[in-house]
Amino acid sequence: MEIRISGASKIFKPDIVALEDIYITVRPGEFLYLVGPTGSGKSTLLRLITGEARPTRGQITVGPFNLRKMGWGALSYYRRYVGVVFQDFKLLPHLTAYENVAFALEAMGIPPKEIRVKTGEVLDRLGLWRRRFLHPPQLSGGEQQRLAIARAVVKSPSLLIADEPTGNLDANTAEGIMDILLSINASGTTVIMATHNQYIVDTYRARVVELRMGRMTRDEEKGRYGSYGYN
Amino acid sequence: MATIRYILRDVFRLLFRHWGLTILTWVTMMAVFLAVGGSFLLTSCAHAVVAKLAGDLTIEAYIAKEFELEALKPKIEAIPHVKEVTLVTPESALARLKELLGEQAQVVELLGENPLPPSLVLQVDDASNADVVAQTLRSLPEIEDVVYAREAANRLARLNAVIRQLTIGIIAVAIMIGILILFNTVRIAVYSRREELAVMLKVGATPTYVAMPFLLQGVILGGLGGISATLILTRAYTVFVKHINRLLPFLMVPEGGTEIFIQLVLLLVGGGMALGWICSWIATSRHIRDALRPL
Repeated sequence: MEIRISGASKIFKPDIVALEDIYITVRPGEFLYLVGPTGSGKSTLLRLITGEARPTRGQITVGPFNLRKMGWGALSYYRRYVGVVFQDFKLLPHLTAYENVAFALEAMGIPPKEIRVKTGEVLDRLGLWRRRFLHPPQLSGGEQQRLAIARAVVKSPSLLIADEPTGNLDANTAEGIMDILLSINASGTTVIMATHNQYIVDTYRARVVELRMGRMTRDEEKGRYGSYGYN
Repeated sequence: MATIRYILRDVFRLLFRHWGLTILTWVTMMAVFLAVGGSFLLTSCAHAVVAKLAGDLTIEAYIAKEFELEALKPKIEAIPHVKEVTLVTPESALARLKELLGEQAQVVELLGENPLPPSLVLQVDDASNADVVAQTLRSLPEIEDVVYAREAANRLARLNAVIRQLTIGIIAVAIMIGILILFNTVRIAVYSRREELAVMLKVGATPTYVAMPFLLQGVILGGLGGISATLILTRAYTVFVKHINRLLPFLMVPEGGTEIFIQLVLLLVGGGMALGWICSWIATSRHIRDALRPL
């Protein structure tokens, strides 16, 4: 799905400008890094794309969906096409790893047989099949992150949004997560990933959009993390 | 089909996960509906008894001799609240008097000419309307005098009104308690699953899918309370009527049967389910609205 962000601004009451005049077009199947210091507006921009927040000004369209005008019913429908990997995972501790993934499909009304097949496939692909009966607190940080990705991709979304997916992981685990995200991207899913991880951005080169104080300061194909002088 | 299956599974999870709260709500709702149903039965009995007594209440209107009794009947029947009109000719009145006097009936013979005027005996639809009907009768030129048990009629009307108001009060209080209990039970269930609900909405579940288990939980709890109360009240009413009719047979309290049972089912089970749905809808929709509202 193509994403068009045209002059989007987000101002929180009373007058905190989180984003100002953002113009980005993300092509279908593209991999895009969103970088910038803490408080630069990365998470706000991701929230605008997932429909959790509405732009104060400007337009955001994702495929056929105009997020500015979307009602609740359409928002639920839209979210079926978007997989989100949250910074804090948002896994449900009382459900097993298997149930955490299956639950995303149940919410869409997918028949049980299909859920069994799809959940099994995605857990296997992310190396979690043997851990399927464990609950999230019994999993390591990397496993929890992979489980969060599994839940996001099990519904075969057209767009995957990942907010700091390697945030609290060691280098090896972070690389494993990147391999997974790249393979998902290779299968045609558009991926937008907000990150602070310089090593990842510099190693797995892709388009980089940089934000600073709510403004877009860089949009570079095959860019590097700190090309324009910040760390 | 799969969605219905997931929703039903979630309903049972909700009911059994907090089974203590489920039982507490069930028992409390049963108590609430016992109060509602008990008041309803009490009012029904009281109305039946009062209606019976009111049915026995009659107004006697004495007609001036120059008027035709038969010709007057349709005019009297047309008066509002008049249920039934019986003609009493001077001859039948005399016969009745003789019957009342029994052995001393020959005293009547001493009177020579029949002194009793023709009259009409009226039954009104409700004891509270006796005064109005009597006043209308008095205003008619054909009527010489009107006699009825005014005080008795007024007391019956007052009794009826007091019972009605008392019942409305009890039912209103009981329903308020029921609403609060059901609303809070569902709210606790929603609160305990708030993270799960938020994630469900974020991954694409529709608000209806998220709300439905809670709505059904409210319906089941309200319905269970109503069913339990109906069964208890039906049995209790049968025993009560049996005893009261043996001790005070003149009251002739109507016996319980299918009609009473159907009325209780409609009032308590139907009402309980509707109450459950409404309370759950209020508790859930607010939470979902907040969870979905964009920043």
